[in-house]
Amino acid sequence: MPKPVVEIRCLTKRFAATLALDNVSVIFYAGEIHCVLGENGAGKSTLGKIIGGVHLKDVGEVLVDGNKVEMRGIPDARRLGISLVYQELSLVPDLTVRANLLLGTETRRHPFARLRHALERARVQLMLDKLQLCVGVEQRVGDLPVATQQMLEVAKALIRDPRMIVLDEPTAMLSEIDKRRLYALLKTLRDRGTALAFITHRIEDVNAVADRVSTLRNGRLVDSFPLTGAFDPDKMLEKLSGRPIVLRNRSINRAGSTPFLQIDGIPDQTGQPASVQIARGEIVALYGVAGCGAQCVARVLVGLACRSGLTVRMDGVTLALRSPSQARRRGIAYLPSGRARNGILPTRSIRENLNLPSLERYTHAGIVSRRRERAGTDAQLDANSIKYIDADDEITVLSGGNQQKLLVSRTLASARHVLVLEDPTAGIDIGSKTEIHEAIRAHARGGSAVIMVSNDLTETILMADTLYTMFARTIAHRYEKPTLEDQGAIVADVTGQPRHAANSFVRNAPAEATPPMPGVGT
Amino acid sequence: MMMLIALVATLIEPRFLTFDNALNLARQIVPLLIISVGQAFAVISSGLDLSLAAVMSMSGVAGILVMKQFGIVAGIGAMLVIGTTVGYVSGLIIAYFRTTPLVVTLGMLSVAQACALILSNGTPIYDVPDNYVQRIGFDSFIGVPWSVWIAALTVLAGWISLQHTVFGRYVYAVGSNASAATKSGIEVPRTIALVYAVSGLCASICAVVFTAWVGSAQPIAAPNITLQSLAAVVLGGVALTGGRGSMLNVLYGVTMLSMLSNVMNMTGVSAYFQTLIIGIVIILAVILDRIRRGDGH
Repeated sequence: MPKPVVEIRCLTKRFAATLALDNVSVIFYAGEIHCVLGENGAGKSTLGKIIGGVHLKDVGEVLVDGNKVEMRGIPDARRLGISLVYQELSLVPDLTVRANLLLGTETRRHPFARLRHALERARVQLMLDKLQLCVGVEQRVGDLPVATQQMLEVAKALIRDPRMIVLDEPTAMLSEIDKRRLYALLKTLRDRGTALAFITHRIEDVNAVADRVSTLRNGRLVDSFPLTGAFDPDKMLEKLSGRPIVLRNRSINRAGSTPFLQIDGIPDQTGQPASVQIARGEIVALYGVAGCGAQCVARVLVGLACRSGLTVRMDGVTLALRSPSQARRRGIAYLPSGRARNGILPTRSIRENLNLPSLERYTHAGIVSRRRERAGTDAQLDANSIKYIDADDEITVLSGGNQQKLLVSRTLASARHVLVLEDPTAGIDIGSKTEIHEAIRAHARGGSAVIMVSNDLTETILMADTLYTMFARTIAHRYEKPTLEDQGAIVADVTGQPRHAANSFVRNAPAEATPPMPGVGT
Repeated sequence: MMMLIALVATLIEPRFLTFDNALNLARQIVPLLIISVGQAFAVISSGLDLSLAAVMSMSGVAGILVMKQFGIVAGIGAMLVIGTTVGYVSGLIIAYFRTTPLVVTLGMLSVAQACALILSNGTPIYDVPDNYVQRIGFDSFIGVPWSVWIAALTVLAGWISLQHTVFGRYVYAVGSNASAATKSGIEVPRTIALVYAVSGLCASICAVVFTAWVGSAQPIAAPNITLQSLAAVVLGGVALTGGRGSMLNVLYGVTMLSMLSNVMNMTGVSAYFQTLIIGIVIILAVILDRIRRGDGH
């Protein structure tokens, strides 16, 4: 009989007008991976943060080892042996890997107590070895790729030797390979008796590791049950969103059209120059691990790349773009990854955010017509089924999914010829994801050339008419109309392994490979 | 860069490269160096301290008044305690009311300056114990003036606390990403309050050296030193946005700035032009800070 480590009883939490958690009761057992599944805004992060001491509960009880506890902050949770892996990471970019992993665990005798550098180094190296992370102990964390940072965030939680770990969307930033490593690690921890709460909105995660699943919707616990044997992802999806999900297949697309856009200067793996070609109406996806150069290819289209040596030809004319603003004037629109950092203006209203790149639509002789802008804004928000109360509210009142829909909508509005997308649906709920995918496809059908770089392999496969895999700044392979069966080969491509080894890689991977699940993630 | 200035200086003015001038330079550097150590803590924590010169004046005046009554040791003690306390108060306000350091320390500048003027009735206090002036102001230890030793020790203490103590690591963490630091379980407000206590302490150490050196307590002592310290810190390579930089950067920046004015003094550049040039250097330092960190992407 597993032992309860953390028990939540009748928990309620309110943020201003929003009821984030409504009378939720759930138990986390030792030696169990407990997936907390829900769409964005369902309250799962709030639940995690209450367990981790970040937020204080309003009503309800938290029991640790059967004893009622009152947590007043993160240090309290830490003392009880609870570690939190933050979705937005808790790493300090300017400190080294070593300092980051140990941050907050240093001696508390007095502020000017000495740091034991040598001891620290040994301790951190041990942890890195355990996780098979190839990073230098003294490397600056800000210089490392996001996927590595995500793994370090996990390492940081582990080094505190917790009895309970709450992981908040840990796979959102990870590539397929890193995901499998993480799954394996979590299973090891489970077998050693750690209680794990795995907060996610991805069915794949549940399928890969969960022993028990709790689903949340609108702050309420919908269901909580141990996961044994068969598992029906479609049922689960319906439970999450509270409405039946219509799974769509990838639109079959227009063969034989002439390339409208061509990017030259990327070598293929034999060193021969190759090119990426995109026709009007086509969705081309580039996929690879961080630093493979895929992002560079996308960014050269909007004038942001990286002295890449790439050349772009649109409609036969060579473009030398030097900024996204120049690109916009040519009808090339760009949706950058990183909603919080590169997308929204958090202190401004929904309306201002929506119209930021296209305010001239509502101007006359340089004067903005407020009336027309408001009307146009409401129309555009409604057309994209963005849920809002007042367009003059700050954008941060919207859920992540709705913010992203807004950003996609504003990008599409200015994409006359070319649409460049980076992680178009990162960290949002399945419902919004489906809507965004549909909007992108509709836009492509309207005659735009679409290029997409996403870390989400399922999304990449399902959206792409043509998929290029990239490794070490070269094109590995080109897939026409990829399917989920290509997943193994794609993973092999982007990790630089020879084709024939693809299957063995999957089999030898620490976690058994997640069987591809048709339909999920669409 | 430093070598370049030294080389050019020597070519223009051969007297630059003499032991006497080196010692002279070291002495001139002392006040700015000590103040800059405090400034560096504030800047690395992603803040800044504009009250340093005023706090230095205030603790100097108050300390000398105490010294006349209760002796040298009590006087020095009073200076250090007052400076640290005033800094700590600023720090507490910044940390616990989440106000910007710019405004709080600007306010504290006014408060401390006023206190200095009120305590001294607006005039310099000249009757400073001779023994104090002689010892700290002029005596040497192994051929190096005491004031230089004090500055060196301050820099060393700053270096140790930044690189080898828990506090130092927290200062970097808070300056680099305060939210991540909070999530790591660090008491960010406490760290911030302590940072300004340290900068206040540096201001008061400077007050000790300065009052002894000029043999009086000036109610408005070295008003430009605050901005100069900010310039020196940035010039030396401490990131204005926080989280990066070390005492080496401070040493480097202060030396560069001081060498520049030393050279200009020796070659007889007028005071007006000196101010102009220092101003340009400060602006260049900020641009340099930007360039050093790339385009800010």
